[in-house]
Amino acid sequence: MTVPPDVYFTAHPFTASGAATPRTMPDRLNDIFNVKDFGALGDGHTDDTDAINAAIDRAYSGGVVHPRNGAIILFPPGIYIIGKGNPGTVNLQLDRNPGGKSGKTSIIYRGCGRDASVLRGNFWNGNPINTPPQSGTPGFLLICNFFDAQVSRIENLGIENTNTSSGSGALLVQLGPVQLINCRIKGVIGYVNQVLGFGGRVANCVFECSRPITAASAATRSPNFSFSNFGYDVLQGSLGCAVAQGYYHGNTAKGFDIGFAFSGPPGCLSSTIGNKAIQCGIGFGGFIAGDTESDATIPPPGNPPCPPSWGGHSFTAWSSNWAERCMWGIYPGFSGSMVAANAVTGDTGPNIPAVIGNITWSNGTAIVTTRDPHNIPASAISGISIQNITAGDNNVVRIWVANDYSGILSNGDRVRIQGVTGTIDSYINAGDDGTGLWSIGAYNFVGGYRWFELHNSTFSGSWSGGGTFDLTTQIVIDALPAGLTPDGTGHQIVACTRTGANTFTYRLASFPGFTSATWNYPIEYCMVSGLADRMVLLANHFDALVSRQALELARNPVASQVGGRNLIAAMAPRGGWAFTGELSRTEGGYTFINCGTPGNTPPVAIPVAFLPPQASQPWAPNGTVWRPVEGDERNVNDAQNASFRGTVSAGASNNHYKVRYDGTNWRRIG
Amino acid sequence: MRAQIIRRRVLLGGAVSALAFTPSRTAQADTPFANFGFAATGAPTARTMPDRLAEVVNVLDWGAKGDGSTDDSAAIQAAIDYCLSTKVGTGAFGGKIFFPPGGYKIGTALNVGSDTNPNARVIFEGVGKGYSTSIESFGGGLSGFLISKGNKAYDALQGLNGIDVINASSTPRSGAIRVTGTGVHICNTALTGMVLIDASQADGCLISDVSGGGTDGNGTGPHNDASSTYPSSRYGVGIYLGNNTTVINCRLQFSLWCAFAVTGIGASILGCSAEAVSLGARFGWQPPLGYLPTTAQVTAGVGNQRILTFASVPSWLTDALNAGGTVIVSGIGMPDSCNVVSTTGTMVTISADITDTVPSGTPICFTVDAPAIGATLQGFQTEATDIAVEMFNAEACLIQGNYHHLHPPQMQTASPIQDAVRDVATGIVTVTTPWNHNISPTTANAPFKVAINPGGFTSGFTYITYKNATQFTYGPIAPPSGSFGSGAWMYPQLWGIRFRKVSGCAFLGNVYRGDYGYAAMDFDYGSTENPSATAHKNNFFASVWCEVAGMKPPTDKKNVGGWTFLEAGLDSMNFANPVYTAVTLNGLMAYGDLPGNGGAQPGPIEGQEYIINNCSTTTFGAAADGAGANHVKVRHDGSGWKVCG
Repeated sequence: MTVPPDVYFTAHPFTASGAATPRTMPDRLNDIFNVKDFGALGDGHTDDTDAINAAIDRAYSGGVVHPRNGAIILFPPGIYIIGKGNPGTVNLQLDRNPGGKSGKTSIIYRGCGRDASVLRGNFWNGNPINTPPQSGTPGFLLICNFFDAQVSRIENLGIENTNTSSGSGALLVQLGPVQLINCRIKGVIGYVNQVLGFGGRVANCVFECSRPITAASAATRSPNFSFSNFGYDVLQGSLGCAVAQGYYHGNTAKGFDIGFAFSGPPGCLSSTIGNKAIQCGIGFGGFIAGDTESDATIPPPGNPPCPPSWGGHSFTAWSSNWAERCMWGIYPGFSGSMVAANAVTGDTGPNIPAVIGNITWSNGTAIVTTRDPHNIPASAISGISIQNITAGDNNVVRIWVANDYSGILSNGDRVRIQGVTGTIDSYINAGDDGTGLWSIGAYNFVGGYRWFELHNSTFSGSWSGGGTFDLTTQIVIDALPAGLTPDGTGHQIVACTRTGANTFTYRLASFPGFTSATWNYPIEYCMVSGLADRMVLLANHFDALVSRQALELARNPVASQVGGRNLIAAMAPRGGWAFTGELSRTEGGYTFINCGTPGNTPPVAIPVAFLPPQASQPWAPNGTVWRPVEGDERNVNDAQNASFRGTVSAGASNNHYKVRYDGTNWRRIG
Repeated sequence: MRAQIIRRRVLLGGAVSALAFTPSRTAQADTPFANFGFAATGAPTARTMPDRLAEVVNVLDWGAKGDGSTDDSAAIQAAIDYCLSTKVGTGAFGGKIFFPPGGYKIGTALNVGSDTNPNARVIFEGVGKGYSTSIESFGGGLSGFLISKGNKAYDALQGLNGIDVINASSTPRSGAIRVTGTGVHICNTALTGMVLIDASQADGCLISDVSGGGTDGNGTGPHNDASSTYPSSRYGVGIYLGNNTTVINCRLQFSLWCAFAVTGIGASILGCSAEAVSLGARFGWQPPLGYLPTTAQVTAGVGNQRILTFASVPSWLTDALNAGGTVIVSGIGMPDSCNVVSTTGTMVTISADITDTVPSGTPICFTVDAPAIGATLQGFQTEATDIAVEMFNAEACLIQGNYHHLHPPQMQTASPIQDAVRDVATGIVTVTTPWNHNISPTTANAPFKVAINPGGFTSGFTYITYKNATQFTYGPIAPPSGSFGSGAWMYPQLWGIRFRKVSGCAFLGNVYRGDYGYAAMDFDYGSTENPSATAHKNNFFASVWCEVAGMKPPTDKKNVGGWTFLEAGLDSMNFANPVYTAVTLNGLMAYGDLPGNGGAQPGPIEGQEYIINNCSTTTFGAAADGAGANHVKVRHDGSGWKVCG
């Protein structure tokens, strides 16, 4: 006898063991919307867009208890393809316009793990969200943008937009607060949340750039990083995560131009604790994503100053974040920040110097001579990345760089050798113009401060002339053994042996493409601030490489931007301090407490003329005035020119004094 | 399965009609059931029940019982292995493993790892913390961790939510959970073990809403060291934090040596608490390399150095030394600050005098001395700890907004007494506790807090002496005599905060307390045993308050230069009989201790300011007006130190 199964399984109410109320199986399965019930396959090749949309439609169509709408939408393990074969035409709206519905909606998107349940697509429609006026759908794979149709939480999901076009992204939230937890987000732009005032939370997520880190790019930063790639609006470049306002903690961003940034207008706040940015151009930036108020660019070194409107933006509270192998670790830039107990390092450990004097290669063993004592312990170390360059057969390449990294190149430039083919038997003293062609003579090897790097290059021709430079350091790359071909990937040193204070040797895990000019990840700056206003900088671990600047304050502010009330305490950045631009005026806005770096000291003394307020200085930008208050104390360096009472005391050879504002005037107090 | 879906549908009148089928026919329906696809209400796609049930792996489906007695190891391991090896769709491995409410006994540790799939990840999910769902060892527990990657190449644990993990073992290096992956989320769980969570080798883990206690008998106070199985073992640790580990809203209590041990870069502890443990949080402490019992009495070495003898010196110790690291030695009677100087044969030379306190057979703990960098401790509360916070080896840490109770706010509920009787003749009070009090038998005249009501026997600090397992005594005190049946006693907090190697750290808005005989802030931790191990540079104190006891200043006054105090000092409350009376470090440094003059602090740098105590003996000439003690403030103006006040 065959019992019609339908009776038992779809229309037959039964009770759970120990429970009271009989319900049918289909009704039970309606409690949580499983996308597979709506036809999604999650098989990694079938387009599941329509099925997922059907599930979302149902969640927003009153299928749940009246008057509230909402649901948990569950993604069982699988790879769900969005818009297969139609890049640029199909993306997914995670919410629905609630229209005239009175009840609000709350949706939870739930996966079974960021690697197990993955939504994947290749979407780019040419509409960056930062180009006003917004025309059509932004170029993100997943979008939420209805106010009353909250997507309250997205958890344990992988979200991947494999497109590599600038402006494309994975997840965009324009309205409604969202908690994003335990997700993996991949895209040129990972996640942007433009919601103001609602907070939201981003916790324990991993952001990956869809532009892969290659051997050529891994040395320092994301593949396409350039200051000209992004500007005031950071969305022109790759970006891990930008939240207008909220709480980020425990997230990781890898390989972006900017790891973490802002996406809101002035006044946004965030609390950002325990995040990590790896191999990003800028690890943590107080930049604005999607802000259209200005086309001005973030000032690259030597470029025009920040736009005045930066003054309103807040970096707020950032602590225990770690920027590893980023070009700039932290760029708070704005006002009202607390930057405390963060770490910026060149590699996974502190105190690893980086400058190579010489590498020779013999039978699979590289012999490295460092310029400075390297501090490598006597036994094996690991995890140092040696980058690959490609040398032509039987080539001998000698690359000479200046002896002092405080003296390479002019401000804003760096030597970057990339994509060159051929043979070189002489020396190189040129930079890269971005196309792989040499541009000779444009760089001066004296008087700047940038690093030297080699990227996927083979060489041709011979070179000479162009600029001036001081030659004491050479990197020698000997011929490859016959029959072996560069494999085009980077390599990890698996063990190295200290052979002297300035030398070590290592063998590679596999035969390398070749050696390179750096054996560690250089940092340009651990932290750079533009206008710093009401900033507290406390107890950060800044470990810049030898002879580079750990901390640059007051980069390129203009006269109309005067930061003040900044406190810097308990910091001894390795690599030291630098003030640039209108440094004297902005220095007046800093108090240093127990900061010290041997040989490179915080510049604490200013001319008397820069003590605020001075009529000759524009101390009242935008109607605000930073005025001294009684008790303010500053160090001055030209006391003999002082207008305040008293004369310079005997023995004060350099006229450096401390002055205090007594409510009326600045007085000398010591 | 889909090909076998039976499309036939039967329309029925409703529930009543359905119920008309008799149970006797159910068995016959079983075959079509398993292959019968049907749709959820409102959804379009028909799917079979087995397919639906496979989406989230339920350990009961894999044979686990969860009955609190059956060994469920193999069943759960099979569920894990299925998840990690079964490819879903075309690329994703892993998924969610659901544990329905129950007690899952584990006789063999779970290996949550894969040798072949670096991207396979599983999430353990239960239904809530505290007795609802648990993974438990049998009896005496298991060595190692109940949940870890085991011997697999890749750690596959991505999360654990709502499952208690209980390893009853009190063996060193055992515990509940060990994670080594990236971005692991452990939350909503109550843990028990020698170590609750070891995330020291993980990256970017989030640990939230965890409670737990240890199995380290040493953990309830310093006074029971001698009776502990692993005295001063340094093994009972709640959570080891590694790189970017974020710990939020966790409460750890009892039978742990240390609640939170921080290493690596960028860890943070937010809104957590530690109660009734020896040490609340230690910055710069990673899991020990291992431990060895000595095989002979300690012998003298050169100077203060001493020589320990072991059956053999293992490679993990020589490897660590060869790597250039400093290896800390600790154990009963041994100060934490001494380190291995060298090894020869079976002998290990260490840097401190411990001759009288380390008998043969003592377990010795070896740990690499590594800093915690860029860590945050915020909103941290301790109660009834011996030491609230230790900056053992810390760089660039932010310690702010913390409060450390000397005792539980509700003493009566914390450690009640059964009876207290004052002897008329001697005035000595004998306190009887309702259970074993864990006070060490060697305790004599040790500081405790006792509150007896009514009658005003004693309310506050006194000095107690062990009598037996459930009794201790104190006094003599003045009459009245008699028996008093209510009150409380407790272990006092000894040190508020101690500093060993600390540079570039900021301390803002904290309250520290020390007890009689101890200091609220100890700036001299480790210097006696190993002066070279102490180093203080570039630190900032603001709005920090210490009470009951004062500060123990650094022996080496060069280290004073490493501190700047702003509205930080001592409150004199209950300041009757302290050993350490210093209320600030200001003025403890002489001219010769200034940066550039022999001090340890970097500099001199223009703008640096210090208060020194020997103005008249320096190049400054006579003391300033009224400066009787020759204490002046000096400032470096770029060319030299000048008096500035």
